[in-house]
Amino acid sequence: MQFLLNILDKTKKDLFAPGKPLEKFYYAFDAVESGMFNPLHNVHQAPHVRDSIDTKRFMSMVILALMPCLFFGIYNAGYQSQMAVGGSVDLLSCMLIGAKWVIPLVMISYAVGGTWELLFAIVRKHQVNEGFLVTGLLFPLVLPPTLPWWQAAVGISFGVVIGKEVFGGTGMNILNPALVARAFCFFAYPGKMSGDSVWVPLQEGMKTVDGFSGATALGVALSMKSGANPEANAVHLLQSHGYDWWNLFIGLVPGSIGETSTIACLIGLVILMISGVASWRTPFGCLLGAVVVGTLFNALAPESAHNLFHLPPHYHILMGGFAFGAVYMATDPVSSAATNTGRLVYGFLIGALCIIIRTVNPAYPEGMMLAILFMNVFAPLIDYYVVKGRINQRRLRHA
Amino acid sequence: MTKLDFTGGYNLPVAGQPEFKLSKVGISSTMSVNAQQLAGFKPVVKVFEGDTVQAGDVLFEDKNDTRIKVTTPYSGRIKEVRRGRRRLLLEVIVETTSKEPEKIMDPVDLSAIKEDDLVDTLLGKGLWKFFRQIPYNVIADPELRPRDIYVSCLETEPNCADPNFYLKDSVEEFSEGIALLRKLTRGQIFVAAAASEMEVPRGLKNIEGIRVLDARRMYPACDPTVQSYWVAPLRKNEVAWTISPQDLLQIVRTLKTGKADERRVFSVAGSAMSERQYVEAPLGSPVSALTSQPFSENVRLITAGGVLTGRQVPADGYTGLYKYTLQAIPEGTERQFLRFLRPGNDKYSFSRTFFSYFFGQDSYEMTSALNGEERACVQCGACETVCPVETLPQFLFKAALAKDYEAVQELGVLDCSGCGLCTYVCPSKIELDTILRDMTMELHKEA
Repeated sequence: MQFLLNILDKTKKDLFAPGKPLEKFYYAFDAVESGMFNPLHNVHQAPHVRDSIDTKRFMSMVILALMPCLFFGIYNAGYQSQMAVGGSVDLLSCMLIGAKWVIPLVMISYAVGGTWELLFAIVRKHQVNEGFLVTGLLFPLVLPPTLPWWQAAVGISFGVVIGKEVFGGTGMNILNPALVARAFCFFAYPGKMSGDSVWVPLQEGMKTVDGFSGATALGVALSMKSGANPEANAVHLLQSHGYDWWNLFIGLVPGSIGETSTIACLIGLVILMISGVASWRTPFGCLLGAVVVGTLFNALAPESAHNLFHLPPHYHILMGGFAFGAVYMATDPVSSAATNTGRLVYGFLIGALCIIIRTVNPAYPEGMMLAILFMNVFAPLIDYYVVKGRINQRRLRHA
Repeated sequence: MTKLDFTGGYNLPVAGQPEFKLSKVGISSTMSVNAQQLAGFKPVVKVFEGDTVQAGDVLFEDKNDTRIKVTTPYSGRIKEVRRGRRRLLLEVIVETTSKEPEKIMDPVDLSAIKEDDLVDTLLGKGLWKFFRQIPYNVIADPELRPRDIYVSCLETEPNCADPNFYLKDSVEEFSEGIALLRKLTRGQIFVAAAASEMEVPRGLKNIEGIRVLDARRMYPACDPTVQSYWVAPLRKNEVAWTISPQDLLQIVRTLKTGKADERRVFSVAGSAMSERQYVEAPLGSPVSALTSQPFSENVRLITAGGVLTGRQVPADGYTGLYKYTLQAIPEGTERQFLRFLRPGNDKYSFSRTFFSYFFGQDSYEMTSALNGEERACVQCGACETVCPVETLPQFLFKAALAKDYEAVQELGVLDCSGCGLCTYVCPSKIELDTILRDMTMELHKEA
């Protein structure tokens, strides 16, 4: 690899060094160079040794953890597409058809968002932050596969610029940039981000099979009226539309690209937990919050209440973006609470809010996105009280 | 006996332990009297380059309290008054004519000496600099009396000198030192030592008038600031003192004989050091006295502390105070292709993001490479996990950068021991240790 290093060094000296023609674009070059070869800095103050981990490694772990969701998402997009027209659902054709829909969205997200990231780095004269590598992959995974490409481009632009760069880049943002991008698309292009017709990519010129609806489990649950014995009914009605527990857990159902499979999210969670990149407290808190509030609603809702009130929590946590949000979005350390105690509270409130939004305000069946964004805003407040508690403990110790 | 239990802390498996064998060297032709490490001390230099000095002559004194003098233990000629940035005094280099410890005062009867006389002697004979104060970790203020005194006979920083090795024949003298300390405080004298009897010099734990702190071998259990935080937290306006065992031995020897007996046992260690061993040499010896190894440019030499707390010293420099060690580690020179994607069996990390965590080695040859680049804090929380005094470093350093003097104190900057662990683990490579130390010194100036 020495020859590559030599080429890079020579390019830097000839083109990007101060006084050379491309001096202005130094930080763009730096992003490429430091991505390929670790930059060489030595410390000159104590401590004289430093950990091998850096933000590149840190973010790579999240990317790795997202791989199960990405691959399952590609397969599922193809699978749904084939099921809709009664085509063959073997692995290869599903992957190929799915890739046709998913890969362009991923590439657009990286290309457009990356351009913004580079632009800000060049203008601000700072290094490109690795955090974008995660944002750029999270965003397409929470989109319906059929989203028009230009809308995805506008969405990621909004997410990167307004969600992150105006605050000063990775580490300074208040909200999760990928969710900001999704929220923008959700409210700007509701016709392409919600409803029954966006989740399954249909192939041109092919007729759908009889009985095809394309609705998500949340959409189905919401549209149904419950009768006597509402709880059993809620589950039964879901099942009659093909959404039984295992189906939802595995995730071969219509939905956003990476969100449908709880099992893929769990594999990602294991990777995040083993590497220690995400705190276990946040997803645990989410689960607890959803179960507590879901159970409360089951117990207290009147019979006449609509179906989502009667849906037991172990179904809630498989539906929509709950698992994906709890594992990948809520755990983003920058926008989440920064203290250990705070993370539990923060997670709990996300889980609780998600169920509340889904049921009490069914105009937004996708409660997870809003719950996380809302709690992003409250995370500093949670930390404030946790830190205050720690300050009091310290005061007592010295008293 | 008290158990020293604390949360946080971390043991770094740094390769290059010294072997338990001792060689001895005498006074070198040039010796250094250190000023750089005397925190909170504003030196006023009393000598000029070229001056002839006698052992015991004052070299510099504290501007704020002129009773605190620093003297030369060696006769000879002032070779250099070495200054750093903003003309800050770093050290005074003496070209020595002394071959043996020289007489600098009349011997003192240790058991009879009164508190005030003891303090005056220590101040005037250049022995005061060995007392440091908690909080702030600065030279002790002679106006104040410490509530407690800490002597840490425990070393948990990688490759630093093991007290069990250098104290084993000096327990008698050490206990005389404890008796002297008793005159300086009405409070407790805490002596931290390894919990295991095997690792403690015989008789140490039975010395009269001390409270033994039984400690696990977990860095930084050896740090008196950490010990104080967990065992006997100070109230507002109270101070504690600390002194290292080897410095206490010198005080005893100097008072008893009247001679400037400056000998210390240094650990000469680190993976880039070819002959790793213990060396007995006088305080302020040049690097070249401890090892004859020629060092290339790509070797980092560290003294006055290990890889976590020490300071860099050039190959033609001099060893420092308080922690007696000289360590050599390689500098980082390697640029790997796609380093951040490799499994990393050979890359040590506190995190579990490298395979080394699962299939690791016993010790690692660590370099002085930053292993990354500085980024904004991503609130990963690693610093909070390792902090031995329960601070929240991720909030503390931000308050320090914002110069919020009230917040930093509430968040415990004065409990910070400067162990360096938060800075070691930080994936964003933020210099927390330096930021917090600078803030502490600023607060000390105000206080």
